[in-house]
Amino acid sequence: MSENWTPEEFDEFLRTLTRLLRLGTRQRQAIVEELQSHLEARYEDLVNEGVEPREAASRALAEFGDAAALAAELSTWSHLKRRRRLMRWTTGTLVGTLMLALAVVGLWQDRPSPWGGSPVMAQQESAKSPAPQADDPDEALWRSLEKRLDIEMQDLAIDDALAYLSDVAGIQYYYERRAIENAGVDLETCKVSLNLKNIPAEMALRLILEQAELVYSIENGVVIVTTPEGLRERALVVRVYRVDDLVEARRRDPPAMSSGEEPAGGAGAGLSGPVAQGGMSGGLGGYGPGGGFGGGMGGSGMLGTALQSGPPYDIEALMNVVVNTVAPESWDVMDGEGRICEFRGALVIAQSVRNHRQIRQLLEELRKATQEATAGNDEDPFASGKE
Amino acid sequence: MAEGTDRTAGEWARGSLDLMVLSTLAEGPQYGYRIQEALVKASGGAVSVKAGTLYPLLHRLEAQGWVKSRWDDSTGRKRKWYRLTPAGRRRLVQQAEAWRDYAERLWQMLAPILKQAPDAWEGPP
Repeated sequence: MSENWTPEEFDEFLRTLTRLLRLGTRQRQAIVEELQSHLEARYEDLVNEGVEPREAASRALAEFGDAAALAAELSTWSHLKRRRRLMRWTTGTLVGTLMLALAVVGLWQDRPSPWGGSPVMAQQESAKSPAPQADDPDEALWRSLEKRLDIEMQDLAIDDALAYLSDVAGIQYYYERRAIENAGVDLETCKVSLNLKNIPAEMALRLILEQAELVYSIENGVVIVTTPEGLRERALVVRVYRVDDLVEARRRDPPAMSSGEEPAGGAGAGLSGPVAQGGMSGGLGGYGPGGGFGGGMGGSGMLGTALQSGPPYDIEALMNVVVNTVAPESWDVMDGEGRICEFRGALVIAQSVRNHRQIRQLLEELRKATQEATAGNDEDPFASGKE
Repeated sequence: MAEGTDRTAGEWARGSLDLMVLSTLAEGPQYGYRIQEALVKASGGAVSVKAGTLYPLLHRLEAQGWVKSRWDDSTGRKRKWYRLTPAGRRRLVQQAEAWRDYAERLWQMLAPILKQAPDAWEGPP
């Protein structure tokens, strides 16, 4: 058979396909070659069976269906394949890094977890010298999740949809299979569709998961896919925030009462504005990137159980600020799961990862306000009602 | 009747297409066109998978690590050959077992119905 026997329609189809494949030249070429070889074989067989050539060509083409849909699907899988290759390639590097990291953690791990029970892990978060952004895996993940994407998927198994998203957005994810299976969700047969342009990866993730009644949380830069039930179970992460510097800054204030029953007047007076709820949306999986810490720093309110023992006044005020501004309804005083207590000038907080993020932002803001004030004048930094 | 049966077979096929494609590779490497033929033949014509369905599926199976592909022209024509990976073979066996169990349970439910007199099904009482 000569080289240029191919009916013109085949060329037309393959050209369209080439144009629509969102892939590199070599990948595109390989796909087109494979499909061309199929078209030709089918055409030959049909002609040998006695079908008229024109008819044979259009029948062979019809079996491929719509070029756009085909191109979209094939692009998806090629992206995923490339990702698999990259993963294999980096495994060695990863193992090395992980071992190094474990060794370092082993050296640092001199304090036991303050929470013996349920929470999964304990991390120390030095508030005194906030880690550079690049080193924080959650921050890196959030930057990836803020990436804007065009998402085009039709009846894709959720497993495949996430693999694709993780590929194009550059995010790592992990299934909490036990919870997902308990909820009766099959990742391979549960189909999702999404057709939106220029949306943040986080939104795509959320919308994909929503279709299977799944949610996600974030831990150490990894998206954990789970069920609402599973999320409740694993939600709490204990972190220790060193806040001596913030507490130092408040030492000038006269000592006030030490029990948490009444709003602490001295501190509360200086903090203006309502409890910040506006910037934060509560629902599972339903929060936007960038976190929403806005509004004033709510001053009043009671802490209840966590403060029975009566910690020093200014750390108590700080705890008040945290509880009243970061997801107020998530704390145990409001029948939530979050817990906060104080230990030798450090805040020990059990909260979801997303709330930890807001807590860290809040502490950074407070720290900035303190530094600005001490650099400028001697006035109480909080008296101006900073936001 | 025949059309109805075909459509039912099509619905069943959708849920088991991965498994069918993997099984066509159990005997050795194949290229797309032959896989398609093998599916039609093995199902006695009940299952016909369009090329537009088959290739994305093959590429997905490859992305999932169940099959691996390689270009080869030793048969006189340059073709992309697919073969099972060890993981793919394990999965095939696993899924085949799952299907057998499922089919057996379903058959236990259905067998008594076929044993009943056909008259019983002729219409509402």
